Amino acid sequence: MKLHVTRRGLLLTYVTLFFIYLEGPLAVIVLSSFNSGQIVRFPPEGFSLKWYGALMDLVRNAPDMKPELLNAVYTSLWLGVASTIGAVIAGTLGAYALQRAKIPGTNILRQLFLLPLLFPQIVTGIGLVLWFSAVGGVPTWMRLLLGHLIISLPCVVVTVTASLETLDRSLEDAAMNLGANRVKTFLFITLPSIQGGVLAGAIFAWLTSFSNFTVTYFLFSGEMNPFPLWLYQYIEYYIDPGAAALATCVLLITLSVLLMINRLQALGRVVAVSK
Amino acid sequence: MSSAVAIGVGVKHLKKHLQTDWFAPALFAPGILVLLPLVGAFVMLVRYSFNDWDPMLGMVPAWTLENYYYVFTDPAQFKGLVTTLRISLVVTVVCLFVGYPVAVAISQAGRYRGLLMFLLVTPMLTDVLIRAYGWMVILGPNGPVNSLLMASGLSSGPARLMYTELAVVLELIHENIPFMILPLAAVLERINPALNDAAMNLGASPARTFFHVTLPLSRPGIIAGTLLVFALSSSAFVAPLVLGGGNVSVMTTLMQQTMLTTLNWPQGSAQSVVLVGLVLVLLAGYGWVLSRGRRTT
Amino acid sequence: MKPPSQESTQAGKKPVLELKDISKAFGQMNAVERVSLEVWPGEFVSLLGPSGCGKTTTLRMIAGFIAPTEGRIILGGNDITNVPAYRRDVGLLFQSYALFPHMTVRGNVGFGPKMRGEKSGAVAEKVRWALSLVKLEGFEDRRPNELSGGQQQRVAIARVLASGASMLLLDEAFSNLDAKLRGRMQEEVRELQLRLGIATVLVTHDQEEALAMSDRIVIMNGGKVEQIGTPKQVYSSPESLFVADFMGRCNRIEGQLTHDGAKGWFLDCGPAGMIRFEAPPHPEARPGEHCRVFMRPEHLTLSQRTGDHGQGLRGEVERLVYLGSRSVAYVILDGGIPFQVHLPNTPGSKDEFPINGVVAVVPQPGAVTLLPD
Ligand SMILES: Nc1ncnc2c1ncn2[C@@H]1O[C@H](COP(=O)(O)OP(=O)(O)OP(=O)(O)O)[C@@H](O)[C@H]1O
Ligand SMILES: [Mg+2]
Repeated sequence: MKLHVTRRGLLLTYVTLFFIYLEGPLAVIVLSSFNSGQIVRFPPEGFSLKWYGALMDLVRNAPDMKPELLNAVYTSLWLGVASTIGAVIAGTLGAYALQRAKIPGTNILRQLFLLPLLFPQIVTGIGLVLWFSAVGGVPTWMRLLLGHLIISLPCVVVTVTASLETLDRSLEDAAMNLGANRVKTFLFITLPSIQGGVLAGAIFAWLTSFSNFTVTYFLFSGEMNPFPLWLYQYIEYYIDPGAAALATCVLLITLSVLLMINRLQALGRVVAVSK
Repeated sequence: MSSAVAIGVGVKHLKKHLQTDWFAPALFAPGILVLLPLVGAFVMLVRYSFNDWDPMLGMVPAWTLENYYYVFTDPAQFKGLVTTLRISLVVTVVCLFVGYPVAVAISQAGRYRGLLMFLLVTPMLTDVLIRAYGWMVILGPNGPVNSLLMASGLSSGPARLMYTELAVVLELIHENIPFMILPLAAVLERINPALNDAAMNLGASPARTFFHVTLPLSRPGIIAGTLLVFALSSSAFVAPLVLGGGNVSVMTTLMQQTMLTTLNWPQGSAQSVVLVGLVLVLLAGYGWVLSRGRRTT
Repeated sequence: MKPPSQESTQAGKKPVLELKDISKAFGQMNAVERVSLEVWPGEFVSLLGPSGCGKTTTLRMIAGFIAPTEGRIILGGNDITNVPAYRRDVGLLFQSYALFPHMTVRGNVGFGPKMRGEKSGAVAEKVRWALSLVKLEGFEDRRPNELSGGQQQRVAIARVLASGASMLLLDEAFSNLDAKLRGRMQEEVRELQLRLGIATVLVTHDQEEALAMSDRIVIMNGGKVEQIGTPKQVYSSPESLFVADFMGRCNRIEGQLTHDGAKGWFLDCGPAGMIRFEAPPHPEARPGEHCRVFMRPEHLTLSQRTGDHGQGLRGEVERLVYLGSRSVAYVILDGGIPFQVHLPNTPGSKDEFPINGVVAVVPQPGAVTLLPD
């Protein structure tokens, strides 16, 4: 019995240390953003909110940085929203079709819908570069949108598929029996029944698009510089805690999005697709 | 006679075909529209990988295996390949040994399971770049590691930890260890606790119970996690880019250079195809292990 | 109150529903084979059979969720074999009720008329009418998860009625309810069905339910129809061994037919003794013929007098089970055939048959029925 207790204690200590390690890099960013010194230093020299002030200044005053940072955030925001809308429509319909279509080749289509998860993102990025240069004349915003649509589509497919699997099919039969045709049944019965999965998929698709670096890296251009790219360029050249303050803000957004997904009890499904 | 039957069968077949309900299949259309460029892109990658390249003329249509030959013989590229495999191997082994006890803990966590899962998943789903930035701070000259090293007198000046293979490995472990822990925990949770009790009851010590019962039963999880982490590590791009800072050449960073700096598209395509091949083989193994596990439980 | 539109319920010469030789194969497996049936206006028909015999498949073909591989389905004189489910006006009551969880009772009941394009005033009128039929006025704004099982079923019934269906289909509609509530809902549905005069097909594997509710019963086995008839016909004149067995416990025995001029016809069952017939068991009966007969446990009595030749079958009481209104005696006849006998428990009755006691099983007049081969 005693042995048992010490073994549990050992495991508990180990797990605690592990999670300190796991959350460490995030904590370090948050803590060093409050540093009062001029460079990122850990442990911090003193507590100060001045870098958040500097961030505000950057946004408000710095003539060279301001438009770029704001533009980057703006680009990432609309890119995220637009690709989420597209991914939700294509992904929800696709997941429904994958479950219901009784045509040969459905299994191949299933692989196709998950392909962006199987491909290394760098290959997706490089491949799209070649594709766009062959097609020619595609404006940057369209390249970015298509790239982000492709990588966020599976997020919706997976979460909606999971919801569809728990959907009681007799509800749809009942609707048809009461005179609703297929479109009406889908809109009034199926869609409301899987809205949790659709919502979780949408949030996750947005997060995927907003924080994507690799595919974006190959598709962006100077005039359209999404936020992850901007942040990369910034931390390459500046070591001041301003970047830490900025990263803390993004971390806060990510965390609240994750809590939202957690509330929808869809974190498990999301984990299954991330990467 | 037989031709009449054949026609009858044909008509029946045709009728069945026309009767197919096209409502659900039609809904594939938007998704296919989105994904077609990806398929097209991959087809182009494969085709380009057989083309010739001339520094003056650029890409020249051809059918040659030279690019693939270079992936394995060109010193820089071969070194990149070896580095990729070495880093992935180290990351995978460390993830397995560090992650296994955590998976055991999660599988026994009871009502704290949800919390542990959330803690495990949070860093995994945050921006890669932000995670990488965290490691930049930690390993930087003014970071906690160097502070400790200097305070303890182990080192007089700040050690160079950033822009090394070690930095890349540390980040990749951090990034990928959840993908080792999740399949392991899933398998461990399905192991009937009565088996452990039975083994103990039969006189096996805790250590023997672990090695003779738990470990063999968790093998599918070990294989799945290993394949997944290896695949993810070998296709990682951000960690070598940001934390390697040009000092660590792996396949992905070489691909980036070939495509964007040298503009040798055929070579970059061949590198891409090799990487996709490697990753798909690993992921196919992963899928196979998972589906087999599902069938046997 | 009269239903807003229900022309098809008037008694007429034409059947409401005709199934003409319908079959359904799933791959190699024939789930339903050449089933034919006519349902007349106002009639209550049950499809009864063991699990997997194709009842649900037949019902889903009528509702239009499955297309038959062969045969035709005629509804109200129109061939609807290829009409999609949402354009057939047959109302299906689901075993799980299939109430839409995201809609109120009002939304659920009004769904049918709304989908069929009726104006909101007419929809509200139908909802009120249907809810009054199932006595659920005042529940309009509840959600399905705020209702009891019985109430949910009433909403499901109201929903089907409000959709203006010309006939009702019920799939194991009562099996989710506890025994007491089940009895009440069965009565209510039957009463409502009679009042509205709406033709109904019920699928069930519970023979008591089928007997209690139906005008006619269709007994199915292995995808085929075994027998169609009134409850009395299928219970007391089964046309096959399967039907006899399925409709209730039946004690079976076989023997040689003998004829004794003065005393009449007997079946010589070997060691167990003889059974006497009041009349020739069938018109062409001949002495010496080999016959199989069955008798229901409730048509038998036990007697301690065993000497009398022809006064029943000899056996030993193996077990007595007390079931309240009656007891069941498990008797092993001489020769090893097991029989069950139901003994009504009257206030004065005492346990007169000890375990291992020798008894005679005596059929009441008319209890012995000849089994078809
Ligand atoms: N979609 C299907 N695909 C293949 N076989 C099916 C399908 N639906 C039903 N079957 C088979 O057809 C046969 C008849 O099924 P059906 O559901 O009609 O039986 P049932 O009489 O309703 O049984 P129960 O009383 O158990 O509900 C069964 O053997 C079943 O396995
Ligand atoms: Mg059934």
